[in-house]
Amino acid sequence: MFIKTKKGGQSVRYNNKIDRKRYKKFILVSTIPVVSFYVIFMIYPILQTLYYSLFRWSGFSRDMEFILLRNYNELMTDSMFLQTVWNSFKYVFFGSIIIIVITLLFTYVITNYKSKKLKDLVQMILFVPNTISPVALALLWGFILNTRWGLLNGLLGKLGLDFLQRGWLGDQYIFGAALSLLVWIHVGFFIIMYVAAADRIPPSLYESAQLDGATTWKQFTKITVPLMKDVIETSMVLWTIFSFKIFGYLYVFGAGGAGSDAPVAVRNISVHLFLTAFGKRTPINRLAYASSMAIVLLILVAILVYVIRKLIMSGETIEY
Amino acid sequence: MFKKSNLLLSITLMVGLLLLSSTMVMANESFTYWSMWEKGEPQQKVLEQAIKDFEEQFDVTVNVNWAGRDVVTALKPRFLSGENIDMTDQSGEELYGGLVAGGVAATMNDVLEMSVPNEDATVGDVLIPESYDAYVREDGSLYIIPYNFITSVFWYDKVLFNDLGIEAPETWDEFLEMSEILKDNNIDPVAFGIQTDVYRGYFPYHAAERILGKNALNNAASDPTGEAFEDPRWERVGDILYQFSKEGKDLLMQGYESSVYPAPQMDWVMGMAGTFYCGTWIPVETREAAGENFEYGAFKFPTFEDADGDPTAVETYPIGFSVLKDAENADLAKKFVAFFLQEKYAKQWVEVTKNMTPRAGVEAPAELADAKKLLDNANSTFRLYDGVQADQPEWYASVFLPLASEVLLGEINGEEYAEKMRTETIKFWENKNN
Repeated sequence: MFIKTKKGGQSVRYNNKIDRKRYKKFILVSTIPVVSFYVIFMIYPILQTLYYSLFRWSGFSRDMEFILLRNYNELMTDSMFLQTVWNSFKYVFFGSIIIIVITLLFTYVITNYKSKKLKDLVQMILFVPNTISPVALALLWGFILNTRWGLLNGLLGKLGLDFLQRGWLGDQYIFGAALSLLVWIHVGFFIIMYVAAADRIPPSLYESAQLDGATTWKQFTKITVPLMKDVIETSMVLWTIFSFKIFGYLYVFGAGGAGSDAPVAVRNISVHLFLTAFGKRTPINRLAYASSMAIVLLILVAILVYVIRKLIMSGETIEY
Repeated sequence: MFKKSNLLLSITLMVGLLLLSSTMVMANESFTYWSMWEKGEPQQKVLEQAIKDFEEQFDVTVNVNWAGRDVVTALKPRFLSGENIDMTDQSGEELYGGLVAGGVAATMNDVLEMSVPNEDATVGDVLIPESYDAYVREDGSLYIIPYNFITSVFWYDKVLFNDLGIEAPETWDEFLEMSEILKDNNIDPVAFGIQTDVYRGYFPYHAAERILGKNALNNAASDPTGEAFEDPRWERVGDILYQFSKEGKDLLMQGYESSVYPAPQMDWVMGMAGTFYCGTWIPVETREAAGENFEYGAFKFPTFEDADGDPTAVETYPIGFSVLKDAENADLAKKFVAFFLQEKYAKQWVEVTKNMTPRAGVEAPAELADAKKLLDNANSTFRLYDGVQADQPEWYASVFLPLASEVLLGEINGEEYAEKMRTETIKFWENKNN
């Protein structure tokens, strides 16, 4: 017989030694498949990547030359790689600010809808970009932002805002153009998360606030947002991981789908390491060197996720 | 007793069937071909028909995978898993930069000696030497047999040029005169998009071919001391590029700093620009948008006085077959290569795909007649990007293309271009620990 108690988290108390042994055995047996799966599909590939990163290897044949840490040495001075690391950080930083602000604003609006149908419809519309092929969306975004006959500049012209027309795909604006694409696509996903989190907050809290005369905005900032802290943290962790590993959109965007590799100005580490490993238009084909990039990527994501969690978890956790 | 005899009979029948089927397999040879074309493309249709004919004529099987343009990337894991792939095809640069550099391609010199089926000639006899000459290594080895031939030229609309009284220019001065007339008629001289690598790399390497000659760029890229760029002729190359820029003579179309494929080619056929530099695939891609009254003309990259490059030289950009080094059925694959170079398939290639064939004596499509003439009149050829994209891909990506952007955007002048090519090349090689 097990008795569950809640004391700072879940714990289990046992009334006899036999039950405790059986429980431990059960835990052990039930975790074996998960651990095996994790080791085979996560740990082993990571170790293998680490191993390959110590070689000079094109990946076409089994001829490999052991060069110890020279790939890592080269990474430290590789301007293109460093540019893609910087880009990845910019996606994390600017992306998370923009996404959180937009998502919170939409959450505020959507949670105030009285009609559930309207609520669902708006969320569905915002989620649609997530369901479309990355290649199609990246190409579409490129067409929208085309300088001479793109939809955006066309619209600005029609509205008499010609002075705002820009060469959106030029070096000066292309990073922002890529970031706006990623925000547009992912914001719907985070809105669904935030709205679901807001919906689970007990109505009694809002009712008390209303009796105290709090406005809906005050209720949102003082009740909804603080109680969604765990979800905001999760969304930031997810966005950090997305920023580093997003591939399809950035691989195609700016390259026009043909004739070009993705411009360095928009590449994150994932895109750059793929192009280094397998080439595309430019046949670089350095699989081992790309493996060292993958290891750096892993370390960077781990550090960032740790820092974000530390920063957010440093405050008080509100339970309800 | 009945059961025993029944069992015996079954076993005998099964063994017999097994032997029969293995004999049939042995009789029917096969090879595996991974193609760069995708199902439904005109090129795929011509190849598919030839494969069908080959299978019927020689009672063999060709296992084809229409893998698409990223075929070399797709092949990589197959090689590592030990799967046998006998043959693939791609552009010369991608084959040389990938399979040849990776040491997995077989030499194809012997194919040149093979007879073309149903014809009294060898492959070497029927191929235009210019279609593969630039790809013969110093030791004489050749790793590609072309079946499609591309070259890059300036394209223009003959109807428009006639209306404006412009002759296709030959020299740089004539090119500038042409540009002035176009500008006077509110037409940008050259359609261009700097964000697309293909477009961005064309002028810097063509200018180098004209001013310094074949292999100069490739040799300079491979020189870790950067000394090659101290040659004053590189400054002249930079000056030419600077003249293209908006800060120079402003020859490139408005908004070129942010224009990406396919915008420049569409702007050109819609009459916003007078010329467009691109490969011989462009009429196929633009025919529909160009309309009936558009007549394709072509001229080569202009020539310069007192330059060391061959003024008649044009680019060689073959697409062809490459048999793999460890191919189990290399002989059969090579037999197909020779088979596909028959005149009837070359004619089909031209007719269906509207591309040029490297086979001598087969007319080019009407849209490519000018380009073909330039090729016929060329005394020499050079590789796409002078071979640096394949031979020094990282230098091409991290030094050549970024500096091409800077000078074509007018951010640096000719002198600065030459100096930055030198210093960035030194830095590049210093950073290369591998």
